[in-house]
Parts: sequence; C-alpha cells; structure tokens
Amino acid sequence: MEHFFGFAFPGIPYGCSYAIVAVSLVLTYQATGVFNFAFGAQAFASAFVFTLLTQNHGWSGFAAFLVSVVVMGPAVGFAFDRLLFRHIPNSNGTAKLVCSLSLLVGIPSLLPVIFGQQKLDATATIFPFFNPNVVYFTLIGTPINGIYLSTFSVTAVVLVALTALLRYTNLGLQMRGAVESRRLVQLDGVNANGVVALAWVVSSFMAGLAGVLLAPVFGAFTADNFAALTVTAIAAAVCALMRSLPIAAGVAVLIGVATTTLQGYLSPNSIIYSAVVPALPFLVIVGALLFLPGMRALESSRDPLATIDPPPPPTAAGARAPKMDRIVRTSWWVLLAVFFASMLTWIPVTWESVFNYGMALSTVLLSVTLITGMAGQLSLCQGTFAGISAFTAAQMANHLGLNMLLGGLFGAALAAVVAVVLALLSLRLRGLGLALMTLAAALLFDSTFFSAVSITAGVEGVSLQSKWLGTSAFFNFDGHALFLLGISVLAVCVFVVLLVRKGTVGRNLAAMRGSETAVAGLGINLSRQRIMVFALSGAIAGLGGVLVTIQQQLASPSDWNYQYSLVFVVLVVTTSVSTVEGAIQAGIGFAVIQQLLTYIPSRFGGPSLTIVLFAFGALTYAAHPEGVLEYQKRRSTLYFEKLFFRQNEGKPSDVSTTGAHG
Amino acid sequence: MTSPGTSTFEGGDVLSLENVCAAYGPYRALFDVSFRVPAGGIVALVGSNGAGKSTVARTVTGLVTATSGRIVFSGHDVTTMPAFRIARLGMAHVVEGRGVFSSLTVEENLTLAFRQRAGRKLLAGNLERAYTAFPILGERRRQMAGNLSGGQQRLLSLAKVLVVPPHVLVADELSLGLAPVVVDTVYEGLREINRNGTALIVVEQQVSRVLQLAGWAVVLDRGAVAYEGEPAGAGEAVEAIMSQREEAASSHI
Repeated sequence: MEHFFGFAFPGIPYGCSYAIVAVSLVLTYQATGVFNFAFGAQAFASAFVFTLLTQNHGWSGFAAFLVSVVVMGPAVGFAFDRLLFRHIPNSNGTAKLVCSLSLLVGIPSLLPVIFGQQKLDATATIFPFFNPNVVYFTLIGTPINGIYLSTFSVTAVVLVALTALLRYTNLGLQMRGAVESRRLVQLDGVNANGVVALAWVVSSFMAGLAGVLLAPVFGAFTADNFAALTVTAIAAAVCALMRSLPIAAGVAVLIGVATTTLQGYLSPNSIIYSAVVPALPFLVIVGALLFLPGMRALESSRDPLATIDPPPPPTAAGARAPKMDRIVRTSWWVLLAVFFASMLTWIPVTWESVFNYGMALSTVLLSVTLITGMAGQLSLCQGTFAGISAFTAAQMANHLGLNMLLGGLFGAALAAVVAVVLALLSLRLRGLGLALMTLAAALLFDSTFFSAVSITAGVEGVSLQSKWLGTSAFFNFDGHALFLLGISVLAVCVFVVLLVRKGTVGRNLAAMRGSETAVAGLGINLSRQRIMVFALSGAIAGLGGVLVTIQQQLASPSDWNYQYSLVFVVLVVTTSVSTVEGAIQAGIGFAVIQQLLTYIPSRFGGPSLTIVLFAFGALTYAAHPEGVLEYQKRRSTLYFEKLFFRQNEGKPSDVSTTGAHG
Repeated sequence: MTSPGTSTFEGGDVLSLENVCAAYGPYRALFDVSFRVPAGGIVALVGSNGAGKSTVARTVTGLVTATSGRIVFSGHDVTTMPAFRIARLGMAHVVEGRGVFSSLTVEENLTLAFRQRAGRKLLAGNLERAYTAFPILGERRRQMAGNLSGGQQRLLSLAKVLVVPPHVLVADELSLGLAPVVVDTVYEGLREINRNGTALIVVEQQVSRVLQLAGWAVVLDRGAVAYEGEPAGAGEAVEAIMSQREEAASSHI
C-alpha cells in the first residue's frame, strides 16, 4: 500500500496543475462562452516573460510577477475581447473556435519573433509561498516538499474563489447571462460588453498565474509542455461538462495521480507504458464525448435574439454579375495557362519546388474546404489523415516493394477508412464536440502510431528512395515530373470537390448547415452524408499527404502532428473556407510566403513568422467569417462592377432594400 | 408595488421617434418612422408579418441602432445609446418569443433583473412579490428556465418587468402562443402597471384586442408608418393594407 502512495502522491502536483488550468477553462467557458484553446499558450507567454525578466534581465521575482501576470495577463485578455471575441456573434460557434485555435497556434510562434530565440531554464522560476527544495513533512512514506504545498494550496484557493465568483456573486450571474445572450442581458440594464471584458481579464489573469506557478512543476520550459497541460485540462473540463468547477478539478487531480501510478507500476518497456500513459488524456476526452450526452448539446446557441445579426453575405462568385463572372472566369483560365507554361519553361528550380510544395499542400487543404467549408464542421485532424497515408505508402514501398504512387492510393484509402471510423464515433457530435474529438484523435495518433519507430522511423522520418517511385524523375526537379503529377492530382481533387458541392450531397450539406432538424424532416439520412464527406476528405488529405511526401522526399512525423492539423485549418480559414480557390490560395500562399521569409534575417523568427502571419490573419475571421481574401474579392468585385457596368447599378446587389425582419 | 416613475413628464411625451431608419446589416428594415408615446399612455403597434413592428421595438430599446433619425426617451437622446443604458433610464422590453436565460434558474433570472433595476436591498421583497403574482414561478424557482413551457417562460419574462415597473414597457407579441385565459391575465397585468404610470408600447399581430387597450395606434407596412391616430381607425387601415396585398397577389396569378 505504501508502494501505491509512493507512486500516487507524486501525481498530485501535476494533477493540481491540471486542475488550475481545467478550472480556468471552465470559468472562461462559463463567463465568456469561448472554449479557450489558447489558454495554455497564454500561460506559456506569461511564464516566458517572467523567466526572461528574472533570468536575463535580473529583475526581482516580485517585479517580474507584477509585469508578467498582473499587468500582462489582464492586458492580453482585454485585447482578446476588444479586438476579437466581442465582434463574433454569439451564434457563430465555429468562429469562436477558429479564433482561439489560431491564438493557440500563433502565440507560441510569436514569442521568438518578438524576443528572439531565448534559452530559458524554467526551474529557476520562484515559488512565491513554499520553497520547493524543502521537505516540510512526510505523509505515508512520501516526503512532501514545497511544490506539493504550493500547488495544492493554490489549487484550493483558485477553486474556492472562482466557484464563489460564478455561483454566488451578481457579477458571476451577469457573466453567465451575457454568455447566453449579450442582448437580452442588456435589457436588464447590464453592461454586457463590460462584463464579458471583465470575464476575459479574470480568465487571462488566471492563465498568467497558472503559467508562472506551473513552469517549475514541469521542469523543461517548452510550448509543448504547456500544450500538453492544456490537453489534460481539457479532458478534465470536458468530464465536468464545462459546467462544474469542482468536478473539473477532481478529474484533473485523478488524471495526474493515475498517470504517475501507471508509470510506477508498469515496466517502462511495456507497450502500455509507451502508448497508453501518454494517450490517457485523449482517452478521457474520447470517453467523455462518447458517454456524456451533455457534451453534445454544448455548442448549440441559445440566444433568443440571434436573429438580430444580419445574415452572412453571399460569396464573391455568387454575387457577381454574369458579365463580370465571365471576365473573372476567363482570367482564371488565362492565369492557369500562363502558370502552366511558366512552370515548364522559365521558372527557376527553387521556385518550381516552392510551387510544387504549394500545390501538394493545397490538396491537403482541399480536404479542409470539404469538411469545414461545406459540411460546416471543424475537423482538427486533417494532418493526421495525410500522415496516415504518407506512412502507409512509405512502409508499403519499404517492405513490399510497392510503387509509392500505387501505395499512395492504398494510403488514401486507409486514411478514408480511419476517417469513417472517426465519423462513426462522432456521429452525434457537432461544433465543439467534434473539434475536440478530432483533436483527441490527432493527439492519439501523434503519441502512438506516429511516434512508433517501426512506422515512422523516429523523428527523422522515412527518406524516400527513387526505386520506390519506379523512376528517378521525381528526384530530378528540372524534369517537371513532380509538377505534372502535383497539378493533375490537384485538378482531379478540385473536380471531385466541385462535383460533390454541386451534387446532391453538397446540397444536403448546405441545407444541414442551415438546420439539421429540417433536413432530417425531409427524410435525408444525416449520418450517411457526414460519413461520406469524412471519407472523401480523409482520402483527399491522404493524397495530398503522399504528394507532400514525394515533394519533400521524406515522410516525417513532425510534418503531420496535431499542430500542423491546426495550422491547416487556420490557413484555409484565413483565405476562404467556403470556396475551392481558398484552399489553393492558402496552400500556394503558405509555400510562397515561407520561401520569401528565408530572404529576411532569421532574427525575425524565420518559419515561425509564416505561422504567425497566417494565425493572425485567421483572426480576421472574427470580422469576416467568409475569409479575408473572400471579403476582399467581394469588395473588389463590387468595385469593378461599378466601374465597368454602370448601367447595372439599379440591380439589387449587396445592398438591397428588401427583406425587413419581423 | 414600488413607486412607479410617473410624474416626471406629466402631459408631455415620454418617448418620441423622429424619422427613424434602421437596418440589419445591408438589409434596410425601417424607413422614416415617427411617432410619440405620451407619458402614461398606451400605444398599439400593429401591422402584418414583416412590417417592421419588432424592429421598431428593438430600435426603441437599443437592441438595433438606428441608422438615422432621432429617438428621445425621458428627455435623453438615446438614438445611439447602448441598450443597457437605455434600460437603466427606465426602459423595459419583453422580447418576442422566448426571452429568458435558459441556462439560469428561474430565481437567477429574476435576481438578475431585480438587482439591476431595484437594487440589492429590495431583492428579497421583489422575489416574494413575483412568486405571489405568479405562483407557478415560485414552485419552479430552482428549475432551469429553459425547462419551463413556452407560456411559463413568457410569464417569467413578464414577471421581470411587472414587479419593478419601468417608465416605458415595450411588449412584443405578448399573446403569441398563450392560452386565451392566460392572455386575459397578461392584459390585466398590462392595464395594472399602466394605471401605476408605466407607458406601454404594445406590439401585436392580433389587432382587435390591443386596440381596445390602447389610446393611440400606429400601423406599420413594409417598414414605414401607414397610419397613425385613434385606435378606431387602425382596424380599417390594417384591412386596407391586407386587401391591397391580396389584390397584388391575385393580379400576379
């Protein structure tokens, strides 16, 4: 028994850390209506600044705490509310998710851009209350040092304070009211914007506090640690149905204890140790999503005054006058022809490979268009689908001597099968639930299959060999074989996606975005549509994954981890999620910008700057849910139409005088 | 009842709209709407589906901001004022359909409203009065408001404003979906707080009943005022609009 406590107790500080974050996540959700994926990133930012000030600039712990937690935390929260979340209508759950995801992707990449690459040592962070190196007393054979005492006492204080705030104060009541409907709560005389801003300030202060307090518990100071912290906290928060603070805290502590206990009892060489222990939080998320019915109804908007928000504008292509439409279509074909000819003739090898990469990426991104743009559901594991296919093709080539191109088809098929399984598991999930489920799937693959050396050959990945492709033409970048392959696969995928969009399935999906109940009432099988679109999107992501692999001549697990899945969504959303062009513009744009950034000094962050650009581009989603490129396109279309076709001015275009609401 | 805000604008108008236009995004909904609400008076706002009745109600209480024109309430220009400030000046709005916080309990719904309108000290007394006036709410005080039936939810949103009477109450489609007996109670409640000095704007699609109650009527058609005057004339105005519509519809066939 003493053995057990010896294993279990060391889990408590971890569990308490998870608990602080879990409780804050629930608070943020209850008080702002946003599931803040970026919480861990905010915590990381504060801890980063705190450590930077104390270690590199010799500040005292107190002064650094003031700046990094008391000032910076609330300021960040205030900015989030003012610049972002305030502008998102209550009913638009996807926009809220996308914004918090892009912050999760953007903030850790932004820090090296601002502060330069820093080497920081988290263990030097001070604990304000108890000395981590002093053993205060021994409990059932386990020495209890300052880390135990501080994490436990801070968790207890936070839990009590936040519960009191939410349940027993007028402010908490107003916050909960404002989450449901900012408009309705105003009718009761409550300054809804002020209350929600205050909620963000409190929540971000909590993030800063958590970051600074928790950094030493984890030793190493990496954004990944904080992401892992958030994931575990998400698991606990989901178990509490995003509602009960004590349950969230309790589950978080349990996960911490279970992890160290399992680690203690299992031999480090066993499969369970290497697979189940890291996957524990994801298993908890999946379990909660599958078995707790309350999670399914979570994201449905209940704002009775949602109809006041104006309907979304039509796409640029839909709003164009027929004459303008012809001109635009013709110029697209001309542009494509010029691009095609240029790629085969004068474009230098470096740039040819940039465009090839861009097209390969576009294929992966098309799968996002399909699932997020058309089905209106957020899938955060498209990178995983691509990775599954890439590694399948590589391993089939390696072990069976199968041609990589043929293997790619098998890979895409396997990715589709995995997608179908995932779709079956998440049939009843929508919005946040589905996003969490797919995120859990991505993380599960990262920590199991993608980290298995037999599959991915470790972090270096599998290098491609020319015999696998049956020809060395793909390794010879002057030969244009890769370009021809890439553009034909992309063309086929675009054709398929367009076909689906115009066909019955596409129309059903569009109707489902409007009202699932109404569609079900028409006798349409919703589940079948969803499974089909998941399968197709998995297959397209898989094809794209194989293309990227051939282009890079390497299948590396670090190209397909969950972060890239998030980046993919953010990329597409930045340009336009509802159109096929959006995916292509995002893919090629990403490749081109990445190449351009190699020309500027690496002091400015290098590749992470690309992610920062797109992540913060995605924040425009708050103002323009149709995508910023799409928005500009619609504006310029209207402008040119005015310029060229003045005679058409009388027709009802964007600004109509009809359609008074009730 | 606490003392209602009657005396401040005796004889004058408590609310006036001058050439108010409003829009939802690019879609315009109101065109130069003007009318007045005398202090302590009752104005009926009638018209067919999509005439802009609810939009007028929302513009008055600040949920929709007017794009042009002027709204004056209790001597303050409230045209661009945020809704919560207008509410604090003594405006109340019972919105169309469900107007309660479904994730809060019945008691929390009432508390939210009463603390803001009457202050913390009167909270207990006000809750008590609400439960006396609407016993069903007392029975269900610990239930989530979202689990109440549609009629009970309407009673809850009415209780929020009836217990602490405002200067002006905007009631949007109160009778919709309520049993006739309940509608009688609701209208009796409206009469009651009007007797205590609250001016009313009553939005209704069912014309006859509200015209009995009101002292003045405004008929809206396609976002503009089609008739303003004595309630007696409003019925005819509505009939005229309807028959015009029918003619237009039949001439298309």
